[in-house]
Amino acid sequence: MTPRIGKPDAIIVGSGAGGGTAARVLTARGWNVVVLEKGGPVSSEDFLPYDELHFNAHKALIPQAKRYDPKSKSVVVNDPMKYAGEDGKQSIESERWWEVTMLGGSTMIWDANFPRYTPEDFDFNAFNEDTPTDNGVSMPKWPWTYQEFVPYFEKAEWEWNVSGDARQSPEWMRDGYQYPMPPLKAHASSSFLFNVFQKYKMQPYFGARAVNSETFDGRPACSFCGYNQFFGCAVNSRANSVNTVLRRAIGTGRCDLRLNHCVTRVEHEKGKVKGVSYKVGKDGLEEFLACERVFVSIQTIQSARLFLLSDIPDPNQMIGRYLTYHPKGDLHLTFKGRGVWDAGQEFQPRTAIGSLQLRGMYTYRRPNNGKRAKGGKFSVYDPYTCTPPIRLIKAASMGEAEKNVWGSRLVEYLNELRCQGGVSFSFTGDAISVADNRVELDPITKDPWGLPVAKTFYVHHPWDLDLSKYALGVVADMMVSAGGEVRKVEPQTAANIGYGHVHGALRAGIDPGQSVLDWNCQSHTVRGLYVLDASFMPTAGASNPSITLIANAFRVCEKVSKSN
Amino acid sequence: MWEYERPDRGFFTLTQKRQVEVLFDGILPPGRSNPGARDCAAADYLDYLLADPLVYYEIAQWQAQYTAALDWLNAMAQHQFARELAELLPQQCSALLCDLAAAKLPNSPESFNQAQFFGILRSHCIEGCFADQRWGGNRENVMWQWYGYPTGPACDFDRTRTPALSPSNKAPAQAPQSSGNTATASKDPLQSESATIPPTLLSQLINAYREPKLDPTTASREEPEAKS
Repeated sequence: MTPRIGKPDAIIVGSGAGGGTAARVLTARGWNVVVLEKGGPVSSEDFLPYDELHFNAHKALIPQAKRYDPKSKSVVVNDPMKYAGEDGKQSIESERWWEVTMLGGSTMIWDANFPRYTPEDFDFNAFNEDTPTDNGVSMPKWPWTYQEFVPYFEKAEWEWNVSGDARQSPEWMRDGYQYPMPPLKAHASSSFLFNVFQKYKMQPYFGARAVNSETFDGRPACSFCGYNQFFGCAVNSRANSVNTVLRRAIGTGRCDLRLNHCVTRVEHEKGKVKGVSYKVGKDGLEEFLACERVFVSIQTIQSARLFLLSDIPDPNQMIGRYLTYHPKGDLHLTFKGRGVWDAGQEFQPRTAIGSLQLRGMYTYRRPNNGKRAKGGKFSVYDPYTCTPPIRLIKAASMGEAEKNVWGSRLVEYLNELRCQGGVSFSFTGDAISVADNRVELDPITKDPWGLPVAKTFYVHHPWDLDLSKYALGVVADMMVSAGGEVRKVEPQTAANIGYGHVHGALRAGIDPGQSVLDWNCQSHTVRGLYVLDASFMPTAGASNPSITLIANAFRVCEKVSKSN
Repeated sequence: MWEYERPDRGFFTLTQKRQVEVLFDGILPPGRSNPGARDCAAADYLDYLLADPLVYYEIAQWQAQYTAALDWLNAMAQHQFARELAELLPQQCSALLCDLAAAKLPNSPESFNQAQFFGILRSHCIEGCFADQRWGGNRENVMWQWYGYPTGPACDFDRTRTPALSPSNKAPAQAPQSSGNTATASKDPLQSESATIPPTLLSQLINAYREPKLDPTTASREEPEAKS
């Protein structure tokens, strides 16, 4: 139960990473806030039983692009996102698994990897020579420095209860600073991997996770149940908006949390925000709530869509543009003659969550000309780790050319998994921002609330594809020299129907001609309207974006004033 | 807590179910030392899944696809091997699946995508073998025990004692060859060495090899010239 606040100091749209943080900071400053969340309530019960088929294959927690209608006995289009395809002319339905419509948003199912963006991410061109110069490419320096973000990173890490070792992290840390909890247990493959990479002067490390490694803040340590990303955490050892910042915001008595409230429009007049229109439930009538401060944090694509739906003045046609997805890449290897990574008391079980990170290629020198290049990071896992079996085995391959194996080859693949040590790498690289990669409103399809759905146009720049391929190749060579055999190499492809690491589209910057938001993430054209999700990011960076967007929400909300 | 209520009866006729069993065993074939799709009752899983369209939106489409495809594949089996689909020998079924996956079979039903249907068949077979047994497949956890999921060690599979499984003391260190010989545990010096390094020491090791961090107050790592 939360208090009913009729005249709030701020309306916060969305209750996830950004919205929950805003509620926390603003209520601590004495503001009265209303949080409007489109989704409904959830409890630990909703995340049980741990069942891969229900949650992962049948996607029980994500917005359903289609659903079965028992009345008409047919499949109806429900709540899709559209993708224009590689040629920009198609209309492909995307399920957008990274957007979760519930209290707490996508923090309820995330992997909770919390690496900070680094100085390199704040200034791409300083670390990348030969940046592409084709039409539409723009890689601005961020209008803030890493150093300016440091105090907010620290607040974010303590408010969101991060485990890890700040002395181990490759990014710069303030002397004496430490995370609230020590790192999670190591995975049994860690020392092997550490030894291999050390030969190549690369330093893997146990990354920061918003997952409890010990009892802390009333929540238990991770039980290593094996159901992490795409699953809810029913024991509350993984941090989410609800069990951290939102809980504390509600505890102030100044946070009015309203569920099943879908914001349909940000209302504004003469360059000032007036409040929001919303519907309660899918069949509700549109209602209006007045306020001079509106904070939007509903994930990049949806925030851009809300700007378009609200006719936010856009003299330079910047809204929705420079959308970025991180180029990713997957690499799996198996090691003949090496037994499966034995668990034992000291280590995580094989099915657990991993946490080894590798930033050895965050920047590198191009081998052909020695020029400086910006790269990315790897999350390193045992193939069992983080990937429950149905998802893993459906994508079984026995090398680059032999995908989706079946028959005797599938049996061989399974025998390798059950008998041999294996390693998988998940790459996250920086991206080239291109103007034509964008969000628009779909002219035809509407969502269950009657609003036009988002349509994305996206083709990765060749720079992204080269980076992903090169980075996977470098690590594959190292692993092969250590006795590995490659089972899967899947670098980024040009077409991208959607991915969870999504940023841009409402870029922040100093120059109103080149950005949608100002230095403090307030709309250039509608004062009092702020955006707190990753859509503010001027360039993509090369790490999991959560902690950086949360740090930014602290930065914005600590500075903002109640009136114009 | 969400609970799956298995329908009272399945979707398939007896013949259809036997056809699916043959196809599934082609996708995940049983071996002397590994359970196959039939050992897992993977066809039971699909039979129950297709019975209730409310469980997942694609089920209604799958019902129609399976009904048409099984009829047609049966005709293909009769045409190519002069046998009913449900009676195909393993190598005949393999050949049929090969052609289906490559979309090379003739006379497919109208607007029917052979490769796509093969993908559906393969996915359902894997689900029937690896999903929690509450869904009707993975009978008596036979696949999870053999595979070593979610926590226990991978167990040997003994067809003569199926479905009971005997846990092997140690996970075997080498994959069995396709002839199906039982793998044996072997001592790997590197493996045992790594298993004795406690995590605390690991983090000290890592710290010892860490390079100096980039201090943003003193500009960048290799003094780059910032571009405009």
